[in-house]
Amino acid sequence: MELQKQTSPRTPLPDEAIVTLYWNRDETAIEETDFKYKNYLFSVIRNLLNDPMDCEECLNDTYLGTWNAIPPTKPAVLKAFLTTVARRAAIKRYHKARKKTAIPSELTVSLSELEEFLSDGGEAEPDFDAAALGKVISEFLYSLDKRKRYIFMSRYYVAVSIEKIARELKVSRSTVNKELAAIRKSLKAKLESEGYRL
Amino acid sequence: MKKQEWNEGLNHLDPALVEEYVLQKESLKKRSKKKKKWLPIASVAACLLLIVGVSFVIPKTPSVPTWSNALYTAEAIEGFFPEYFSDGVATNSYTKVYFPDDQFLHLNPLTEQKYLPLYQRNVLSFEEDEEAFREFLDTILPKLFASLEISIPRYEIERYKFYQDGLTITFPELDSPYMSAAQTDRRYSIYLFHTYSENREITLDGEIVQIDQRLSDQEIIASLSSVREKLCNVFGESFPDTKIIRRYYEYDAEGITIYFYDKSAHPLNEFQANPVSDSISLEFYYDETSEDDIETDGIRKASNIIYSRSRGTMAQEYSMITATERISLEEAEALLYNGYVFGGHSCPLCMAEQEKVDFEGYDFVSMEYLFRYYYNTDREVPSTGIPFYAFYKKIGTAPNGNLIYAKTYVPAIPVSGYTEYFEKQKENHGK
Repeated sequence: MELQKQTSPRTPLPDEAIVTLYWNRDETAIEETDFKYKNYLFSVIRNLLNDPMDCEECLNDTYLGTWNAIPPTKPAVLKAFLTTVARRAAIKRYHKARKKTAIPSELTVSLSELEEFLSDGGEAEPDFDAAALGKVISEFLYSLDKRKRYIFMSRYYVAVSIEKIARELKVSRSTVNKELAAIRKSLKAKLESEGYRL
Repeated sequence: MKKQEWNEGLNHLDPALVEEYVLQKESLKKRSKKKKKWLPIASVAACLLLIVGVSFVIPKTPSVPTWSNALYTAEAIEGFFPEYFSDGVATNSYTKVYFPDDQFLHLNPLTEQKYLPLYQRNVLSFEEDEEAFREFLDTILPKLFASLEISIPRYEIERYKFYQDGLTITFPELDSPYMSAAQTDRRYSIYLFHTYSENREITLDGEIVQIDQRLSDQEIIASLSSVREKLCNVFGESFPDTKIIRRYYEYDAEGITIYFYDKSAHPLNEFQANPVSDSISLEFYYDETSEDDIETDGIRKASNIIYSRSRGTMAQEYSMITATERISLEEAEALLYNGYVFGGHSCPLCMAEQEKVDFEGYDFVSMEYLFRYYYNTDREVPSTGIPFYAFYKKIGTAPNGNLIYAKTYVPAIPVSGYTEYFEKQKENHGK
């Protein structure tokens, strides 16, 4: 994506304008997305995959995925949409690579915190319904207050380190750890009540 | 439940949750306990100050100056800021910028000139010329690959398929390209990638292109003297000047770009972040900045080296279209204190959430040229650049220790219709 380098003064386009470019099938949409969100997306992906080469490839997957998804999608918040696409691309790579070797990323650390009810166990079962689980987790998140939701999303959705979450919230690491422990406990109860085998 | 199943389930979260996470990231930070703890004390202190203050004198906001020779209306100035294309209104707020230290603010000098030039960035649109492109490559590639200590791989010239119109090169026998080159309607470019080597580093005659980011700008420039010489030799240039731009994005991402260029090639070079003239730029990008990392390992290897050369002359690319009176700093301050300013935040939602910043007693002022940004399907239209006073006010410290400044702009030339325009803005912003 380095090819979009310009020497003229440049400011990022508003999200709506970038989405319009996607809808017009104007390939500069990707250039504008890269210009505005590359650093953010790279930091998200880096938390999940760690390896710089993988991250760069995943970033390209994200742009391609976004290009293929808009249209028909018209995201209300482009940054959130890109986050979703980037996460999906990174998770796909993560589990593929994980078959061969351990991935030294923050995601691996955050998943290890959930080992109380998650097993390594290889690939997903063929009849596994990811959308249904997504709905259950969403319901669970809506039952939390905003602060807890933020901590959960930071730690388990985009695998931000506990240290960084603590810095953002200006609290100690142990405070974040305690809140995460409480969230995990109620999450486990919710999943069990929904019939998931843990 | 398996980890993969869990992750795939998370991939199907309600999108509104992800939107909330992204949009609330900043505002949640502001609601930290520390701030709340001080809020009552601060409120009481503020009340006391108000009582004491009122008993002395109520400072008057300076009146808004008007001009009879304005070339632009305030509404037209809106077009220099991308909000114009989002919800139909520009912002009367500010952009947040993050820096670890004041010395990295890269403030441009103020000028005492009575009249300031306005520039136009022109459409050059040179024809595609494969022969000229091949000649350009034949001049540079042998020296470049000799310096990289790699034999020149076979390359082919082809038309750009993706980014823009023009010509580029491919290396059919290579999985991972060392470099790329382009001829567009206005420029020749060479892009050198760090990914070609196993160590992910660019070496020139055996010397790794790297910097120690802990050093001052001047020390970094001195440390790159040998690299500058080698690159100027490869590209056949003799750029005498160097500029370092350190960019900080919110809290945790950072980049350093170093330009070798000729400052005297165009007057705009003095008042722009990036040089507008031909240059060699070295990019040092990374996504994570932790204090520990900087303390223990401040060495950054170049990610890319980019050479950019105009196909025309600088006078063709950026021409002066007129000159107009410069408004004084005092007049600009009067506009600033009345809130008649232009920001630059691209998200209307974030703008609405911005806390008001009092720029009285601002920390720094700089002069910058901004070019009107045209958004349409045919983006190659001439663009006009006008000078602005850029005001900085420190508003806090980020969790990683970076200083946070609010930055806002006031045109440095006479503009009409401020009062009417900003009254309308108040309605648009619901204030």
